[in-house]
Amino acid sequence: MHSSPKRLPPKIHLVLSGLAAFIIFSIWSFIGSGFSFEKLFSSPEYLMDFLRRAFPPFDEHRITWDAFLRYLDALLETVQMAFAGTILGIIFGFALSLMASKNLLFSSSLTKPLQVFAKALIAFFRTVPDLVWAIVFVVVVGLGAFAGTLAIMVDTIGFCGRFFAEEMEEVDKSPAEALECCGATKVDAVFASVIPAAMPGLIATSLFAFEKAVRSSVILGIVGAGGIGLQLQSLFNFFSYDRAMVIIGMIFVLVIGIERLSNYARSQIMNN
Amino acid sequence: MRPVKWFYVSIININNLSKSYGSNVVLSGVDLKVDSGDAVSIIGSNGAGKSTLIKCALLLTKPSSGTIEVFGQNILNLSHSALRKTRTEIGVVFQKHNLVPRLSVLSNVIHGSIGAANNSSLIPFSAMRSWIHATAPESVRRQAMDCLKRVKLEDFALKRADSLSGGQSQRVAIARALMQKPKLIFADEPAASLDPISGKAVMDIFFDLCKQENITLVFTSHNVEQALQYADRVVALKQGKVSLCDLTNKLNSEDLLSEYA
Repeated sequence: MHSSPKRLPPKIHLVLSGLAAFIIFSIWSFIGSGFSFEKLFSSPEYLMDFLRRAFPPFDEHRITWDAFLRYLDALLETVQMAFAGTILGIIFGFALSLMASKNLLFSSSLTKPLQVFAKALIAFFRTVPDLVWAIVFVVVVGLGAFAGTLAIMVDTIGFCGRFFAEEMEEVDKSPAEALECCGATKVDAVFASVIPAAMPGLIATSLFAFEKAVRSSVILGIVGAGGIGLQLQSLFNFFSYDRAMVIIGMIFVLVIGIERLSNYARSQIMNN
Repeated sequence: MRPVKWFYVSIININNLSKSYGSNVVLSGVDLKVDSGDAVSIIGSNGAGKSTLIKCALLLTKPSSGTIEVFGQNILNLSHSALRKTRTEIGVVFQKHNLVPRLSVLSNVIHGSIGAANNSSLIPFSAMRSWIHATAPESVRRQAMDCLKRVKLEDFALKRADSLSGGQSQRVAIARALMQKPKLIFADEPAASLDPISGKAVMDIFFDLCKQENITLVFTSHNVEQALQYADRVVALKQGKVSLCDLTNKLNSEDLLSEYA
């Protein structure tokens, strides 16, 4: 009778030193972030004040129908910014991902530098936060929704560029090779074979990008890049917490609605 | 019967072909001549170099030394575009059919015409209409339906390729090769992944079509009975060298089985 294989000996020194490093890093982070129980427990007074001013959020004596429509208009502008920015981001992100994917269009030694350049550009767009892009575009094109749209576009290029490239790299390349064997060009092989095979992943990533853009576009107004964020910030500045709560509620409904819609569309695409 | 061009009779003429991957010698001094309209079977045990020989003949892998003439031209000296042009006249059927899974059967067959569409026009991306069946020109769709009819799959045209059985998929791959109107077809173990009945059905269709249209056929196989039944000539490879090359009517299954010893 064979004895069962022995468990691998646990590398206890590695586990202990990893745990110690984790604890030290956590303490260092909490100290650096100014975490204070004292402040946390002394805050109820301020919290009660905030809640008193914030509720009821929709008091007809304080919030007019006109104001509500103005917020709705700003919310729609937010969605428009998110959608337009995502569309542009998907188009440019897709083009860059074609260049950046390994073993796709630019895999020969001659075109390798282009692939490295595209990869680096995507990494740069992805690593700089969208709020920073919004500040840059407010400086470049001025205050308003256009700056926000451009910020979302650049952020989406980074997001889609990376994930589109991964989707296309993971696709089985034998059908594309078969097409090249019958005289098709590399471009034909990619568009007729790799992209159809990667399509569900590409669509799912695009829907995620739109969800992400809607969440981002809400906040971009705070730096002057249009949308509902601008309204939210000015209401907080004037301590109109009740109106701010209306906007927070509207944002909640919008984000949840977009997420549910996107989840539904994604599941339909993945199942077919 | 298709007339043979007067300046060459041999469709394939391989001389002293060698291929090594590092210190691993896969092919060594292989000579092979295939005449127009011939059906040649290449047999040999795993690692004997059968698939590498086909890959070299298509220049999917570059040989270490030797010459490869296909349709009378040394393919090692061809430019990228000239090689693509040559490949449009060569059908290839793989062991794993290599269809695009999410596309329709018809789109997959139409893909066989992409190379020819590129050759017939100087405009870049002129073949883009043939990427999917919905945008393909009417004449191309009709031709693809005709190819599907020849492999008896016309009723499956709008089904997705990943909904087909192994045998049906291989027949679609044959239809895609026929769409090229090829003079030569390479088939790398076309029936190896199929059960015996589907495998025989696929080989029957394949062989009949090649004979009817005078297409030269080079196929690799592990099945000696298949080699004897469908080929005019059998070439055996052993450790990268040609160990036997003879007409099928002079061989029996024992002769071929001894090549696996």
